[in-house]
Amino acid sequence: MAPLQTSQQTGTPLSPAELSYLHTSLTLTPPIRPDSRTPTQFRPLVAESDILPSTNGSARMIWGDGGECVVGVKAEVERNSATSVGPRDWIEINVEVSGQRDDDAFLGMTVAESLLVPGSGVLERLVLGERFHWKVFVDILLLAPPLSHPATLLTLTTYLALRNTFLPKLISEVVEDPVFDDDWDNALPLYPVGKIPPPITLLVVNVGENIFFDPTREELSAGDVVLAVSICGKKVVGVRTLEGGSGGVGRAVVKRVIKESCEVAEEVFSNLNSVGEGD
Amino acid sequence: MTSFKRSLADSRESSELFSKVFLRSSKGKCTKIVRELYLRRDIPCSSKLCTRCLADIRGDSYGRTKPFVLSSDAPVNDTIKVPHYIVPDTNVFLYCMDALEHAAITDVIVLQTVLDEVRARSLPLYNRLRALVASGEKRFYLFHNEFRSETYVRREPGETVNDRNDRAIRRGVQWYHEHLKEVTWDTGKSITVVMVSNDGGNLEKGMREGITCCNIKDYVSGMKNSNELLDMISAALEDENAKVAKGDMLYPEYYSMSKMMTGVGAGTLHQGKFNISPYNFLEGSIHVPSFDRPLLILGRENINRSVHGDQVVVRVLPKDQWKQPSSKIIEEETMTKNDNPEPTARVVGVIKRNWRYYVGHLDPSSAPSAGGRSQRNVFLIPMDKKIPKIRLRTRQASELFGKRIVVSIDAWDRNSRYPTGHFVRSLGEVETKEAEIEALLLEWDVQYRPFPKAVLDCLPKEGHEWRVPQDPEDPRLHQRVDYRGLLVCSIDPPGCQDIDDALHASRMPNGNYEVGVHIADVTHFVKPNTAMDDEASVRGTTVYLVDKRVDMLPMLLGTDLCSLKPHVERFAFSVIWEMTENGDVVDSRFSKSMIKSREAFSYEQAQLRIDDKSQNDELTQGMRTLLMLSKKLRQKRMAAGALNLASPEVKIESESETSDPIDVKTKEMLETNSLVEEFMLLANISVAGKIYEAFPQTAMLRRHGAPPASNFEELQNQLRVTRGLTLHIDSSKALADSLDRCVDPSNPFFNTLVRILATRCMLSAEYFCSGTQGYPEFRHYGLASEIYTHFTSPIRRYADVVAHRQLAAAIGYEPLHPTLHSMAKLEGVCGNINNRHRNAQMAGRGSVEYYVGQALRGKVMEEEGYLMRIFSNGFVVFVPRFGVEGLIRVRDLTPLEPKSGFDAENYTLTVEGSIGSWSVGLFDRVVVKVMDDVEERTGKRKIKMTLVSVKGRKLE
Repeated sequence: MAPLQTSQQTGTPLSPAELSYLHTSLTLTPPIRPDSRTPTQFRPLVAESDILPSTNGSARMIWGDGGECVVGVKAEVERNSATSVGPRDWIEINVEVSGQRDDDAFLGMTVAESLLVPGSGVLERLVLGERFHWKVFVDILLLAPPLSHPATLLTLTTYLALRNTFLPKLISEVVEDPVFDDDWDNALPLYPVGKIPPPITLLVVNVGENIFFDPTREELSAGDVVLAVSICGKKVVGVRTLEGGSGGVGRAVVKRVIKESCEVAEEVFSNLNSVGEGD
Repeated sequence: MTSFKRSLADSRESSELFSKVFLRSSKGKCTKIVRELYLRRDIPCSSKLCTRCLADIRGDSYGRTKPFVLSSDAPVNDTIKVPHYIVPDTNVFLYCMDALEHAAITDVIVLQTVLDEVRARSLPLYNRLRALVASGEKRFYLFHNEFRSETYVRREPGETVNDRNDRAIRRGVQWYHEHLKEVTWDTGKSITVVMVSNDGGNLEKGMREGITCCNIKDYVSGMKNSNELLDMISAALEDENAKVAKGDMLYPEYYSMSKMMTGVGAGTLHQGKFNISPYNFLEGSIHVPSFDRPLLILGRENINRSVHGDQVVVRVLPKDQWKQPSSKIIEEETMTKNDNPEPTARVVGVIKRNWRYYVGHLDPSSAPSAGGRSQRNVFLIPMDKKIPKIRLRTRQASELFGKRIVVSIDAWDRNSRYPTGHFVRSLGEVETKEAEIEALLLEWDVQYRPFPKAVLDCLPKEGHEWRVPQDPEDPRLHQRVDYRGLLVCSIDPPGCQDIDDALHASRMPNGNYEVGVHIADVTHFVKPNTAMDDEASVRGTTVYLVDKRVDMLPMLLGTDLCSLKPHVERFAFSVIWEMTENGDVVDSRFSKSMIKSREAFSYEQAQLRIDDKSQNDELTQGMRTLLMLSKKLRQKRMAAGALNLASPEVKIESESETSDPIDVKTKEMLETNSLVEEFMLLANISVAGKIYEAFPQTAMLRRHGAPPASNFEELQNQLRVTRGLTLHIDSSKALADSLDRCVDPSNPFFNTLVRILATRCMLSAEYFCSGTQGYPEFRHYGLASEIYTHFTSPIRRYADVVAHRQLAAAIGYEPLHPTLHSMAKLEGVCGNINNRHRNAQMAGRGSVEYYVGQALRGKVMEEEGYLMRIFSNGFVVFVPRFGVEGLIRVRDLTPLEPKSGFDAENYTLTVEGSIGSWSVGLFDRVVVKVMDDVEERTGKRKIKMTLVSVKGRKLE
């Protein structure tokens, strides 16, 4: 994975002087980002949903730096098996990075774990009568390796795809083999409005007192700590340190990160939810 | 960024491209299906009045265009008084197909939407509709409204598929109407387009949208033969209100399809084909994979509206409700086998109805008190005892009584004791020859309609003038051997027109004999994948009735071009053997050939010629050689254990002028019969080996399974007890030998009787595809041959046609057609011809039965008979002279039922009669009075017997 390899340990694209300059400008109050964004501002991106007609839900997103992600969600009817580990199996996530040999377990896990947050109500919606359930396959394809860490791009696209995922409406009784309504327009959303939405994971970099959302590669290498913050609805459901943080993360920083993440995420959600409405 | 998505806005502008999305769920899976539609504007309306479409029309890739169909002189009737075309909706096709097939209805536009819906609902109806469109006679035009941009409609949000399709139909009608108005405004002609429906809602919406609509009943009421047409409309289209009004639910409700599928999948319910017992119409059975014995279904409620042949789902009843089969006659049979109660079940749903046309006559007890035009309910009693009475509503009741009529079942509601159906057509008076024979053909599903034009188009253009080409360079003679110099002759039943086979034999210089069997080269004329081949493969066999033949191939081929007629050169497929004097085959050769038959003999003529010492020409010598060799072959076959099971066949003597039957005789067997038979068997066996060698997976073969020993138990026991004889059944040879020993010096017919009974214990032979069985299973039990096929009668059997093609490929004459490489295809063919073969036999027997009944009409004869089966309350007598059997019940012996005792151990029945006590045992000789009787239920004239004397002792 390109961005990971160019981390501080393996060498940075910047010279020490450049790095120091960048670090200083990011610690200023107000900070100055190389591309003159505000700390909470995202890079321009293009998003569209429903691009693959034969999937249950799909989305595509393109980052300004050339990173591109396509997500397709397919749902299949599966018989409940006695031996399986249960509902944790019901969602399968597969990440493929073009040009890479294998998928990155980490990236998949990031999405999967946050999807399976207990109490989100998704698994209950996958139940089909007494003996069947939907098995959801989320296929994530990173087309051009982005120059920054792909987590944000990936989760935002996945979010968008899942928000647009529909499951055929069941018309049979619970004890019977499932039979569905033939009208696609009657299919039910996997994440209905008003229910807990799918989570997203945002990358936050901390430089001195400041925190920045959607960091570029340069910003990542200049940052003190890189955090992956998973947000589900209005709640932060997980914070993880990705890189750096040799000295640990200050409690105040974490507090701020959580607070600001919620605000930012809310904005992101409302923006993403409006994707597709223009159709 | 360029979007992947095809913008909807684009397609709206050009309106040439749409996509539609729907879900298909089957077998628990659910698939989202996206279809892209490319709409066009050049699909013609096909009206002969329309010049615009004619100008627009573009041909297919070869530039061919189809001629326009709809008449410029459109029909008019009393309901729609202006010239019009009609557009029926789906229900009209589903329920009124019989009426639409009536010649009175013409100029019909079939919308693609409707056709698709018909296909989804009923494949047979869909095929009939396609045939109607294809025939062109009645000017049915299929308009692809779903592909024409003006008539395509999108499904609105929340709209059901049905509503959307109804809207599409209305849109189609509207467009047609406007289109025709536009193109005809200056011609002075006008054509109205009428939507014909039965759906009130649809009609009302149509009215509101300004479409000319009409109820199907109103529409046909305005026609000349409205009575007949109205009766052809399905009862399922009756008023919905009338259905609801009637309260009592007589039958349990069916489970939903998904519940049934779940149950079958989980093993709690069972699916199978429902069969009704021929003895008791309230007793059904169903064979399901999870039980080795069939499940019994007893009583109306448990049968729950299933009709013989339906695919149903059943639930097994609790063990305490398991029962013995109820009928008395059946009880006798099963008593010795086991006393365990049989599992019983109830039908909980029907997967697929297997309803066909049923032939019968109206129940006289439902006869109308007065005639008249009003509609009334009557009951039809089907000829097939396994089918329940069918309720009909008809306006022609008074005309239909006493006629054989064809009906079709439409529905069986929970509140109706009997299924409801509608009249299709009348065959004529009951017991008239035409009606009865047609009824037989319909009942056994024999295709007897004239060959369609597409089939006749496949015949050689020269017609009867076709000749074997004389130019040796002609491509048709490529690899064809010239056997015209051989002294070939044919031997067939008298009056035979479709001569399949001819023979020759001559002495070779080395002392061996050259023997040739020449079979009509049907496959030279019937090429695979043509309309004629399809038709032949569907018909499967020629059906021989007493005085009628229903051909598999058109007359021109069957009786002329393929038939190996005498003194004419014909193409043949020849099998030539070199044989030693003992009938051992030294060498065999197969080749396509040309022959010239010197003579066509009947069996008797051939016999006379052979026996006539004064005839010493080469042809007669050849025939004598053939006879000599055939005897050797027969001896060898018998030594190998072939069975001689021929039961006496009956021949009907008929008056030559009227062809009314006057007498019945059993057929004679001559030496020449077996002469032909032996060589045909040998040819079949040789060919079977050859095609199996060339195509081990896909050879078309015929097998006859060894019967299970349990089949013979009863007969073995009967022989041991009554005559002290043993029947060995370890092999066909042992059986053949022990059958030979089954003789009773006092009863010359005894041996034949035992053979007839033994035949009934056997399995029936069947065609199969070699890849589906292991080599040991190929064995033909009756003929004691390891491998067998049918090769020698390609004019009348389709299996032979396939064998011919495979043999031609095996000898490198022509490449094998791909369809004959596919095991799945061949299995389909085998399944069909096995079925057709059985049906043809049944139809043949039915016609003999009818003629025997007619020949004996009004006559009473005393004949000798033998007891074939014996029960506690009666016995079955077989009368050899007529080849018929009849049941005589104890209670019919005297006016008051006499006392009787039945000794099941010794198979004797003792009766306290008026002349004292007498007893009768199995195989005993009796004299019976044979007379005719009309069976009340089926209206068939059958034989009835009464007992005259037992073992020489008069009963009166």
